Amino acid sequence: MQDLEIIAEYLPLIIPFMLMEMALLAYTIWHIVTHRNYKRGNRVMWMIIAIAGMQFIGPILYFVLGKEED
Amino acid sequence: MKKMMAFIKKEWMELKRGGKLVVSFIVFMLFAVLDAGIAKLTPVLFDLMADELADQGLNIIQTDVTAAQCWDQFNGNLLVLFIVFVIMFAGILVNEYQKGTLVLIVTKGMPRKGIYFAKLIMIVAVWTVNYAMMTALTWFYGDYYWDNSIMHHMFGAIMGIWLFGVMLCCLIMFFSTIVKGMSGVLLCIGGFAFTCSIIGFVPGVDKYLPTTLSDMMTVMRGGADISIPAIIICIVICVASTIGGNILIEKKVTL
Repeated sequence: MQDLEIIAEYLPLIIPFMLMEMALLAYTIWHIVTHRNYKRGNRVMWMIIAIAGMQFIGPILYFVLGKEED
Repeated sequence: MKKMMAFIKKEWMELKRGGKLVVSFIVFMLFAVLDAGIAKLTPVLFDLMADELADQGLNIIQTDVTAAQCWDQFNGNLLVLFIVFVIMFAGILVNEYQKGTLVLIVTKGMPRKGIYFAKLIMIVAVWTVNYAMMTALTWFYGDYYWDNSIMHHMFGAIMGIWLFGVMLCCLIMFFSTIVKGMSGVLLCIGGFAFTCSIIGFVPGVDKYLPTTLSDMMTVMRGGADISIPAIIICIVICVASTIGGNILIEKKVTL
């Protein structure tokens, strides 16, 4: 029961974090799907990296290393 | 005016498609949540470290967290945020020189002033919206977990930091008219900050430097008043760099 109270206390901090992660992940996946070519790697690889590292790391890696310059 | 509006629209599309709007929004929000989160977790972290610190002879008896810690984090992280912001938007004008896209627009009759102001308005708007969101979020957490009423000069301090950000935007645009590449802009801004910090070593000159506006920790804690000369000098730099940038972009031979 005490754990639940601790979670409830931190909930206002956790929710925006989750929202940000989800938003960034959704944006990254949208970007991967709508682009045909990447700086390196292919679509499947970037999808796996983005989803596996969804806690900011995957999307950041994609935008730094994978996003093609226009 | 009509031409400028069209250019602003183009800038908006560019920032949206390039992902800069989303990314900057998320970064600012992340900072706001982290400010409150780290302040909230401070006693927990101290508890975790208590054994280790006790070995070294440090005994932590009680850690009180107030809204002051939250705003301390806010101020402390601002420096990183400014660096991220400048890196993100330093290329707003110079990238177009390199791509050569401005030549077409200018030869079609777009005034150079229009380009300058459209871009300036766009980055100031991005900064303002993101900063307002970040401050509002920190304010909300400060009130939710603790009490903001113990802080001093909140409105003035928040507006001072905002003014510093606007000055950074003006400087990005001004330096973009002098140098050719993005690294040049970054170097110039870095040089400006470095010069300010060197001048800051002279005792008593602190209150005249615009960089004092970027750190409001003592003001928020009630240790000092907001320095009016720094605000005036900051506004003067904004106006002067905008006028100077307009003159320079008109005279620029290669766009």
